Amino acid sequence: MLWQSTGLANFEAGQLVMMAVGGLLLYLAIAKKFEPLLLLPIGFGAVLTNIPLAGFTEVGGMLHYIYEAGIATGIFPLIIFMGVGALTDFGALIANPKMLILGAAAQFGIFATLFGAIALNFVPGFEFSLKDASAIAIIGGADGPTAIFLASKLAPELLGAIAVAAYSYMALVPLIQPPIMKALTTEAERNIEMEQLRHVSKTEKIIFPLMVLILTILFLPASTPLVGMFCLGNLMRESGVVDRLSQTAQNELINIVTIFLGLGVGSKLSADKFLKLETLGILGLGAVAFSIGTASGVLMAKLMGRLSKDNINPLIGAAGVSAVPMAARVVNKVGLASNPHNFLLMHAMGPNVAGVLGSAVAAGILLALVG
Amino acid sequence: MEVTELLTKAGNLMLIGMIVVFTFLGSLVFITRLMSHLVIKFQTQQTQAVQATPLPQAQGEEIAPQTVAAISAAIHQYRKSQK
Repeated sequence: MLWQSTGLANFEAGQLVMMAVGGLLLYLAIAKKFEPLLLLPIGFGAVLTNIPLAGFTEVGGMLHYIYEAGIATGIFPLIIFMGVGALTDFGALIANPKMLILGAAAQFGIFATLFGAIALNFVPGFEFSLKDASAIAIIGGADGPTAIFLASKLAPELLGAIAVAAYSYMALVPLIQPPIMKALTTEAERNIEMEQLRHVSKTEKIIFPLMVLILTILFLPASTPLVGMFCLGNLMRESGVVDRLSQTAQNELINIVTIFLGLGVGSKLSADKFLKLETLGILGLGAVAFSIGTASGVLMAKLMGRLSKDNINPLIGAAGVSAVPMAARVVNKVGLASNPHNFLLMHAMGPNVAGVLGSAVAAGILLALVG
Repeated sequence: MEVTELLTKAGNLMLIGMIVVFTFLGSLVFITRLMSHLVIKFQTQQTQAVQATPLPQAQGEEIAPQTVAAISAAIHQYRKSQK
């Protein structure tokens, strides 16, 4: 009788495999420092979810309620987005608004992957609907909260795999991007130095988020949950009158919600949902999405450099796939490798934050047309 | 649904999606430029207005030479007494 209530008697093979997956995520987070803030709670959540008899994800279990309250409703990713808004400085973008175009170009990764996901249906074993494909494609936006938000709305059963893919690839940005960036640019282009950015006044920084919000309200209301919370966070930061709220949004609140978001995502890593051929497809498509996004950003930056009278280093286009601030740091590093006096970090921050707006806009389009 | 039919839909979505993303962020480029232009113009006007109002000090009368002499003498005496 007592034996029947032990874990040993009740383990199923799938649960053991998923616990190993959870363990792998913990290893990546702790030993390899891959997005540890998320992969650690996700990995641990995966372990908890697969404990036999404990019922974490059944009605009455903690992870079930965490998921239902925060992720199914979309609240956690939106609160995180508010925090990201409070952490974002739009100065580099306001000083050089052209960079928004690079943020737009990099979103091609999303839409090309959508096409690719549907094309994968030709392979027997894959059956992605348009909703599934859209949720997978948003991995190319390189923005965790946006990916989780869209997946929870369009394809909740794929959410675990999508979130794991999105965060793993964001951690892999320093490995995925440089070869693509180097392949598409010449040594001379990587050497290009850019003009220093002008100073941006406080008034401009306060008006900018409001302007973005108005534009979204007018043209793309489906994006307002994401863009609205982002702008709220940014306005709290730039207005300078609610420092306490701004500090809370970018520290305590975002940290607390990150714990729950990770656990909630982990609760979706159960054997019946994750151990499928589709998961492999999602992981593959995610890498494709990142690579196409990087490439289209770099190519657009090259085109802009040809057309514009200002010097534009094509490397900064790679930062158009959000992944703030990792992608911008990668650009800076690749730039420094060619020219040790060329600091591209501030220039890359422009397309980088433009990419965040771009992927939120793309998510809104997918929600409006597919959802 | 047939895969080919889905592919056409995905292709359409790709086209519409990229057009909307570019139009949206493209118009944001122009609006941001306009906003910065207006803010900078307004701010320079304001600083000019501030500079245009003469400072009260400059407007005031010159200090009479006698007063200066009296103050210097006082300081001189004070310094001597401190030694």
